[in-house]
Formats: sequence, C-alpha cells, structure tokens
Amino acid sequence: MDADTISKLFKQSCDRYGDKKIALRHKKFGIWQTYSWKYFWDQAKYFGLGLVSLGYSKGERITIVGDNEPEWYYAMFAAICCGGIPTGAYQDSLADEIKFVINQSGSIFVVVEDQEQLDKILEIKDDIPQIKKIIYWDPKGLRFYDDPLIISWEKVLELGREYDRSHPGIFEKFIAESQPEDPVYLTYSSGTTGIPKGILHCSRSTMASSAAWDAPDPTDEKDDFFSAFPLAYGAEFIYMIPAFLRGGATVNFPEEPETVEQNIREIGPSKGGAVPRMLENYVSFVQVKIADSTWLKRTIFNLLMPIGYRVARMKRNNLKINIFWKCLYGLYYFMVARPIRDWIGYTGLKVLMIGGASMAAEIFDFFVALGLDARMIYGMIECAPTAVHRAGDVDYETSGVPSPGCDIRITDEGEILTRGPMRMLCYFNNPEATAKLIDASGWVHTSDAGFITDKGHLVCIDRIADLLKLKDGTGFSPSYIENKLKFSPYIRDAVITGDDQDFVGALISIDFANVGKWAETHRIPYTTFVDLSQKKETYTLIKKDIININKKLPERQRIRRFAILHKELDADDAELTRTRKLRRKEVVRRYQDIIDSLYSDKTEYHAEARVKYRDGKIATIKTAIQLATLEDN
Amino acid sequence: MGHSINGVPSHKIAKMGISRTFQNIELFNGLTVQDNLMAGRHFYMTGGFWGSFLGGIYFGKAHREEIQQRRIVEEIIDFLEIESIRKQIVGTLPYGMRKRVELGRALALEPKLLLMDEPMAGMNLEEKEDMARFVLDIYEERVDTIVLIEHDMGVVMDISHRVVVLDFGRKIAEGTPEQVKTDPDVIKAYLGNKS
Repeated sequence: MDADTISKLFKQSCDRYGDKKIALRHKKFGIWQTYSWKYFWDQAKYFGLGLVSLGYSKGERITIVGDNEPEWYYAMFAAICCGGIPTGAYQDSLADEIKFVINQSGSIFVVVEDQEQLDKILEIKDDIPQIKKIIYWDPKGLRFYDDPLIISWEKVLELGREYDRSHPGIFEKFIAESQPEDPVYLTYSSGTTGIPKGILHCSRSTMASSAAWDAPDPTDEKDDFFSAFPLAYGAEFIYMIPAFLRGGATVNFPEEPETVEQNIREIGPSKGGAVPRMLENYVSFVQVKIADSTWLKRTIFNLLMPIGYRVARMKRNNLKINIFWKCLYGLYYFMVARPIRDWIGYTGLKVLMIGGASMAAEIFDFFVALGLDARMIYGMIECAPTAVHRAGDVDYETSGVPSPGCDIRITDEGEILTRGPMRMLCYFNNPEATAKLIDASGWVHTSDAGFITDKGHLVCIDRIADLLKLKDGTGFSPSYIENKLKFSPYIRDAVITGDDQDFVGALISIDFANVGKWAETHRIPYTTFVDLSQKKETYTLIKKDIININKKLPERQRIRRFAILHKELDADDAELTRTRKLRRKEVVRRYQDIIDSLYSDKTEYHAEARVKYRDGKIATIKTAIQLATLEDN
Repeated sequence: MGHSINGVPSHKIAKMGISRTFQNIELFNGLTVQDNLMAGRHFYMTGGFWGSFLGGIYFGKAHREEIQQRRIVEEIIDFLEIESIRKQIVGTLPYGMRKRVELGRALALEPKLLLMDEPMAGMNLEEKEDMARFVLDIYEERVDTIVLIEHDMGVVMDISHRVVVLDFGRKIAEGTPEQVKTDPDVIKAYLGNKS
C-alpha cells in the first residue's frame, strides 16, 4: 500500500534506505557531516518518545525556534510521528513575536537552538504558563542555567529510549494510526495585512501541494535539496519535505546563516525554489560585481550577455536555433553563464521554481538567459501552488496554467478563486478568518485581483486591497511598479503612492551596500546611511534609474515625484514581514507626512523619526528629506 | 603557592598554560584564519622536523596529527562563530573580526589562564556585546581564570568577579564590582575631588 500520510512516508523511506543512504547533510567543523536515514529515524523516534514521556500526546503542538539544522527536522518529525503538530517561529523574531506563536498555537513544548533563543523564551516565561519543558540542542554557554523548565536534547533522547523499552512498538503504532486528514504542520502567515494567522496543513494537503511543485522534475534518490528558507516559513514544508521523503533525496543544511552562499556553492543543489527577493538580490549582486570588475571582464560580459537573452527569446518562441547561434551560445555559456551560475550555486539546478510574490519580467529574463528552466508558480501557503508553468508553455507575464487537480475561477469583481486538494484544513483556532477565506462550496478567496489570458494562463495583478486609483480614475498596481524599481541595484525597497492623487509618487529605500560602493568609486564622501541617502548625487543616480523605468510604464502611471527615505525598511520596525514583504498599510501610515509633502509644492521635508536599534533602544533621528520632481519625459 | 615568572622566556610561559591577546592585534596578516589558529597549536605538534618533513608527502603520523589539530581548531572556530571567514586572509578582515581571531589563537593554546589586553578597545556596541558574551562562555567552558585589562567600566562591572583598580600603575582598590564602585579612592581617581 502506498503511504498516504507524512509519517508513513517517513517510515517507508527510513525502512527502505536504512543506513545505506544519506538523508541529511550538515556542515560542521568545516566538513560535510552525513546522517543516514536510520540515524534520522532514531533521532525522530527517541525525541518523539521523549516528548511523550514528558506528557506529549496526539494533536498537541510544539514550537521550534532555530536556524536550519538537522535538529529542526528531527523535532518536527518527532512531533508529526507522535500525531502532534510542529510549528516554528522565525529565529530573528523578538521575544514578543515568539510569545504570540507559542500562545496562539497553544504549544506545550518549545524546542530552541541555543542560548540566544533560550534567553528570549526565558524572558517571556511567565506569559507562557502552559509550557512543560524548553528543550535546547546547542549547549554552549548554558552550563550554569538551572531553571527546572530547561532540558537538553540528549536528555530527552535518553527519556525516549527508556520509554521505548517500557512501551515497545508504540512509535510504530502512532505512525500506523495516522490519517491523511490529521493536521501535521502549522505555519504562520507573514502578516502583511495584520496579525499573523496560523495555517494548518494536513498530510493530504501537503502531499498534494508537493506533488504539484515536483511534477516538472520528479525528485529521485540522486537529488540534493538545500535548506535555506527559514523553516518557520511554510514553503519548505509544503514543497520540499514530501518530495524529499518520497524520492529518498538528500537535504543539506548550511553551517551557519552567514555561510549559506559558500555552502550552497559547494553543494550545487539539483532541486530548489526561490522567492523573487532572493533572485533580485542575485541580479543586483551580479550587476555590481560586473561594474566593479576589470575592463576585460566587463567587456566580455557586455558583449556576450545579449546572446543569452537572444537565444532564450528564440527558445521561448519555439524558433529553431541554427548552428551559428548554437556556437555563439556555447561560447557565452562557457564564458558568462556558467561562472555566474556557479557563483550563485545554480550549477546543478534543473528547474527553478519561483513563487511567493510577483516579480519583474527583467529578473525572470535574466535567469532564463543563464540557461535555467525558470517557471513561475502562483499560490498562497493556504493553497499552493494554484497555477504553474508547464514545460514549453512558459510566459513570464503570467503565472502559468492551473496546477493538476486545481480549479481556478475569476469572480465578476476580478478576484481569483481557487479550489483543490492542496488546500489547508483551516486557520488554527480562528473560524472567522477561515470562513472568510473558504466559502461553503470550498473555493478559496485569495484577495488577489487577476484574470485568465486567451491561452488559459493566470495573471495575478496585485492584492485587491493594494490596488490604487488616481484622481482621474486610472487604476494601477503599486507592486508592479515597485518590482520594476527594485530591478535597479541601487534600490532595495520602494513604496508607490498616488491613491486619489494627481500623479504617481514613490518613496525609495536605497541599497546601502551598493550605493555606498558607487559613492566610493565616484569619490563622494559620506558618513552614515542618512547622509548618503540625502546626497544630491544619490538623488541623481536614483533619478536616472527611475527615468529608465518610467519609459516602460503607461504614461499616467509614470513616477513624477519621489523621495529617498533616510532609513532602511526593517522588520523590527514592523515595516516588513520577517520574509521581507512590504507591510504597506504600516509604511504608508508611518510616512504619511512625507507622502503628503510629495503631493505639495515643497522641495524638502523635515523628518523626525523614531528608530529602534537592535538592542531595543529607541532614538530620534532628525533630518531633512529632499523631495525630487521628474520633468515630463 | 605558585612561583614568579619574571624573566622566564615567553615560550616557557606559554607551556605553563598562560596565553594572551594583545591590545594591538598581533596576527600573521598574510595567513588565513585557519592557519593563524593552527599556529597557536604548534606546542601540541610532536611530529618534529623529520616527521613534518615526511608529512610533506603526507604520511602516517604527520597526517594523523594534522587531522587531530585541525579538529581542535575547528572546534574553536565553531565556538567563536567565525565559520564564514575560516579561509579568509586575516589582513583583509575588519577590526572586530581580527580581535576575535586573535582570541581564537590564544584559545588554541588551551591555556588555564587567559590574559586579555583591552579586548573591547575600538569596538562598537554590538561587537562589545559579542565579545563580552564570548568572555563569559570561555570562562564557563575553556579556561580556569581570565585576567582582563579594560577601560570600559560597563563591561568591567558587568562581567567580572573581582576588580583591581590601578591609578598610574599604583593599585588603589580591590574587591567585588560593588565594593570597588563605592570605594572613595576609586571615585576620586575617576571623577576627581569634590571641591
């Protein structure tokens, strides 16, 4: 019988591969350490039974906080196999945010990586009275902690072994009892529009979701995944994990968050997804490196890169590529594409699945030109993927056709509705939100505006609530323009304004590293971020990029006035989510005064901003923000 | 009870289990982080000239020894969280990082007593916090005693068990941070006379 739940799937692979095959790989002490399926099984089993002996039972929740390391997987599978539900909090979350996750999920155990996370949990100890134990896996610096709530990973494993001796076969029994509709994973929405909601997935939904993701290039035993997205974010679970289990592949974990780029190059994963933010960073990185490079390298790049674009376009239009272009492409691939792919760790990648947000066509084009089989997918974690690109039918303006088993409908108001087996169970303990999302006949209301093209492709325009209208009634999508802006290496974030105004305006947050480097090469002295952001030269630089982008926009949607913000948008200030998505309402509220000045005839705005530093201190920055106008173009 | 080390050559002092960091960083600037730490291990390498010479063709004892020493160095790298710069040339690293590498090299000697000469000098707040945490962790896990010379009063008062106050080379007070803080001589030396 085929395994129909995550835990059965887990057992099936562990039984099949035992200690003959590597399940997980983690770089430690400078060497890739390997862990077999048997080891994986033992860790999950004894940790799970350890929890059970401490009072864990079916349906209960645990919260895991830590970097991507094998222990995260062990703890997660331990909970799932015992019939429980793991959830995660972002490792860079503040104590209050972790408190929210622990209490909303009603977790009774917290599993943390190290002292840093443990200190945060101890800080909120009094507000989470239901917690039975806090378990840590990295003992560094914890020798003198004597809180009775704290227990080490090893100790829990020991308890688990004991429990197994007194209750033989119980772990296997838990697994045999699992049902496809049992919840297996809880993840929290990024909270772009308010308080995060707990998204509850079951085996049925995650396995259907993963099957759709995996369809273009089914995972097998030779495949390597790389675990780099925060594990608290649902994407890795609903896409990677079932595929990894079914295919018997290997998951690789970075040594430290700071070494991800080096480690990913060493592995060259064959499977992987990406979010637009990541790809935007790669493109900026390449652009800056090339600009910084020697004359010879720069010339080769500028000379050969158009060949990549040209051939990619021919492939897309299914034109025959003659021998002349093939030779040129070979040269280009060898000289340009291959080294770039090597730098970003994409040498082994077969299909690049991009999802999570909308992305500028320019970015997409770049990766296609590198010879990658890039495809967009569309879907929210609650029900993903809804639409995917099929092989030979990739159109970067769209998100592809409905994924297998999934229906899509557009309402008269233009909202995208979707229905399919990958839909989550419900929002955890939040029936009102669930009822709002899923209607009586099972349709998921995505709150995204979109339409379906003649070829049957889905196009997602933007969040309905985010669509803006100028005074004269011209509607436009701010994130569409923002994505175009972010293609510039010097622009890190952008906020487009213009609701009920005469024209489109923009708030820009510069990329400190790249603009800083540019300033250095052009001998422009600056002291701090604030100073650099308000330099006349910086404004000229950004203006040039905006003029270029304006050329690609319909006339009424062109940016007429802009201001550069004196600080970076930051998740700690609640301006971005932990996955670096813009929290538009919050940002607009914070910078309302600057936005108002954009629509006046002022040329300068005197800002007084409160900033929260990493150590929790609050300070006030006073500065004059320039407001720039673009002449008609 | 102990004996004076005045006049003892520094390699012998090191063998007694005492190592130190410097106020002005004294690393091998042209070597990688890893090699700098390996240099700190050279007391523990027993292969000798001929062993190492044969090690040039990488056999037997020298090979085993290298692996063993590298493992210890890697543990220190893990301890100080400098994995991402392991292979970088020390001269190219920012100041705060070099300070940390130097601390790593001192630890590579596996000292019982660690002397630190102004470890926080020239650091920003975040780097200071990191360093303070490392000092505490080192005390917990790696050495018996740490002697620290430092001007930053916040750091001194927060992490020390015992404080000795010097004024122009003369000891004016000694005791727990609380005692020292209220000592009239210390207040006088730091804030001047009330007059």
